[in-house]
Amino acid sequence: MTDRATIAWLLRRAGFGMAPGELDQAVADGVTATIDRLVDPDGHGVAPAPDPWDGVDLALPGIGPGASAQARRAARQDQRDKALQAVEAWLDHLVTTPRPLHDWMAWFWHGHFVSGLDKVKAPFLLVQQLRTFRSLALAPLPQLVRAVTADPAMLVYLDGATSTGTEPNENYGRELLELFTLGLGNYTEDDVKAGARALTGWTVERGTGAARFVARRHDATPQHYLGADGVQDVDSVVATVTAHRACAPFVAGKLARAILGPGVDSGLVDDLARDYASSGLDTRALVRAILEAGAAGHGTEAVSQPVPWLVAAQRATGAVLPARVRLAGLRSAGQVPMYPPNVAGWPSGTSWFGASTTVARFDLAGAVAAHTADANPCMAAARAFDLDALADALGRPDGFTPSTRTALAEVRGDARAVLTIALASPDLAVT
Amino acid sequence: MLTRRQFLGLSGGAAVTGAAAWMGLLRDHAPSRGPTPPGADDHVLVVVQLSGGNDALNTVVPLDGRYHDLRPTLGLDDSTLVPLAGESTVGLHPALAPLVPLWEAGQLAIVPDVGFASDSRSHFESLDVWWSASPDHTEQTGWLGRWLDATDLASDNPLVAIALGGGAVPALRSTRSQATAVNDLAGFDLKVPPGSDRDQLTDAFAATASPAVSESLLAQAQRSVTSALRAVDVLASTQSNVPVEGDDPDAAAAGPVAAGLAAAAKLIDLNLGTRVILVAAGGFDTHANQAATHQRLLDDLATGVSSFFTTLGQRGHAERVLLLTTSEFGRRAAENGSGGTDHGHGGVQFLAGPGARGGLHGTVDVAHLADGDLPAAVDARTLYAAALSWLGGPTSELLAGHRDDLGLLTA
Repeated sequence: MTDRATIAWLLRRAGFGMAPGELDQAVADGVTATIDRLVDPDGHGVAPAPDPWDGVDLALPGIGPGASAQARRAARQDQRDKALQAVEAWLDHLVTTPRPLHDWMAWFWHGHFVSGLDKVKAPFLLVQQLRTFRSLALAPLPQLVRAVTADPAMLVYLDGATSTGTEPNENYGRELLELFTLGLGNYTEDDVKAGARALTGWTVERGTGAARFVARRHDATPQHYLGADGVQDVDSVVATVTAHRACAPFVAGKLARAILGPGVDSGLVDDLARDYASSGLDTRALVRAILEAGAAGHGTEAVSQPVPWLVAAQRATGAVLPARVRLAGLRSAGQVPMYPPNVAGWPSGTSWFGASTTVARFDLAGAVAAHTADANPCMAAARAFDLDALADALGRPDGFTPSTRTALAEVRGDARAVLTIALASPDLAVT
Repeated sequence: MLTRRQFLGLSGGAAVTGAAAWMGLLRDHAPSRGPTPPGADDHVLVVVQLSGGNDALNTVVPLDGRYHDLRPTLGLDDSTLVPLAGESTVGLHPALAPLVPLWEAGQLAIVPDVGFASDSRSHFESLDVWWSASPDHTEQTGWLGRWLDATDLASDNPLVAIALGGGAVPALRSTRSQATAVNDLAGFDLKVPPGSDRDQLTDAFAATASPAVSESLLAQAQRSVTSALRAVDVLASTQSNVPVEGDDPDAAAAGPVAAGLAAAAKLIDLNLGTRVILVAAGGFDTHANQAATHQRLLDDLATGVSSFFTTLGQRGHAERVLLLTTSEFGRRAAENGSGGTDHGHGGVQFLAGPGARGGLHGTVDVAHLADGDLPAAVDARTLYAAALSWLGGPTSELLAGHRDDLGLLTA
């Protein structure tokens, strides 16, 4: 790969693509400096990213348990309206963020430590969780798992908030092991039950949305958990889980496949996992190693999911879409941020090649092209029918496939149609 | 140059639908196979996936005091249950009252204690087993995908198998065939910006798919363009009468099952050669505050199924349609402290339609729990075998030898 292709790969896989001029600047900096700026923006003079929800009204519903049906209905509608504004604010932020890796990691953690507004309802809680994912994006994993375990949105989503010592609820205790840290086959049903007991006692305050520990709701009996004794609270659960031999391979493998593609060499993943374990689950070092492996040519084909694909399209074209168009398009595509389909998050891979997603990509591509300014480099290249320049501006310095070039020739002369087909093409459906 | 419509084998005109579209597909894409007209008499299977793990004990409720011991707050009062004529051991959740006419017509088969012998209580492990019908994970394909491969019906017509609502597509995973996944039929259409030439734009989109490349994912992305465009041509015109969720969900009449089944009825009525339709609905993972949620979910299921067969009957299709419910597991027999139930094992499933042999095929026995759960005494492949025999073609050979030992279909 040329350095330009390598850097474009980095900006696609560990970020949300590139704005006009961003690739040129990164190529001028070089591969090493680009990785440094991605992984350690504070140490390399990158501007701080603003809070995506700065100025967005996320107030919790101000109604009590005795409210009338009408008041409850109005409160639900109010929260739904605020939720859509919260989703929109996040998407807008992803398009413009000066720290793409941090926000890409927040997006990754959102799809890993999953909570969804279908159940959480209050966007304030989910936004607080996403703020945690942003601030701990590259923090050591135990710190992140600790924060997630007593996170208000998570306490609602996986029912920790209603789990008590006398009658523990297993939902979070199970998914913590199966989906978040160890994977199936590395724990028993007794571990699920013991973990659920040790994690009881947490609630979410109605008025503030804060997590609160209530000792009388907690079962402090020391539990036998994952082979360890004396596990009886959130700290000892997190310490035990993250010290388990299956934790580093599980999380490192998932992150490596997300960035390097599902076909990544298993020996490479083993090496990454071993180093991750010996570093004390230093996620920043892991991500750096993954990016260096990718820059050394170890990346494999991966499917572009709808949100990263759309954000990259907007980042390259500068298009601003009406909220209704963008959310309807993402809903048809099957991926609306903050509304994951279930606790496992969004699927990876070729399920994104279904008919609905393909049609939605086409529809959204047309909307992006319709809202792209004439002066934007993508539009200029489309107007001049300079396909190499167009591919480069869309983050593909190696150009389009012959079939896409032929297809684009069919609409030559109509710059918006050229841009639409380029964005909707199979070339951009993989990354 | 071939236009997209020629490429797709469709004649011109704005509203190419139904048999005309089918004949177009058939003419251009399966000439060597001989033009079998779309079977207006072919049997259709509709699978309704209740994701999250439907609570069997509060769906088909045993008339047994021990049930109330297990469920002191969540237990349904016996007097509120929907009685089933001729069946004194169970009653239905009150929300299932719309299913009574099917029961009385002998067209509702209820099968308790369904599952797989594996003891995983993981959603995803269980779903994987249900979709592949392969508890030992030896099969990479879905149980319906294997049927598609074996019959070769779907290799040229991606509308033979359609998944609505997303979620249950792995059941259709196959080695050769294509299925069409539509998240939301109501929004399923190519939208072209004002001032653009629709045909020119969609022709160019179709052209991105050929010539095919060799890279695996890119090649699959290319094929997705072709099959999506075919599906759009046939399906986009069906959306007019599909219930659309309003801005206010409180006011929206139809839940996901009812909306999916309304769309399914429309697809069946169009005679597109569709044989398998999956409708996916979620929300059954009721760990907390189950009562109100379950009421709403079962209401959606029962009203959806009831209107589905009413519509099919009015359009003369009911006799050829069998409906099967699936769900990855039942829930723990005892309620938890959150007014909900945790993951369990055996679940209850329904087969409905004139082809189903109505009745309760088993017992709901809370006196003999297995590790706090209803057992998975009936292998789910028994139900799958009934479903595949309904479709015709190979059955037990696709299901590791399992057969419909319960006789779930009328002879």
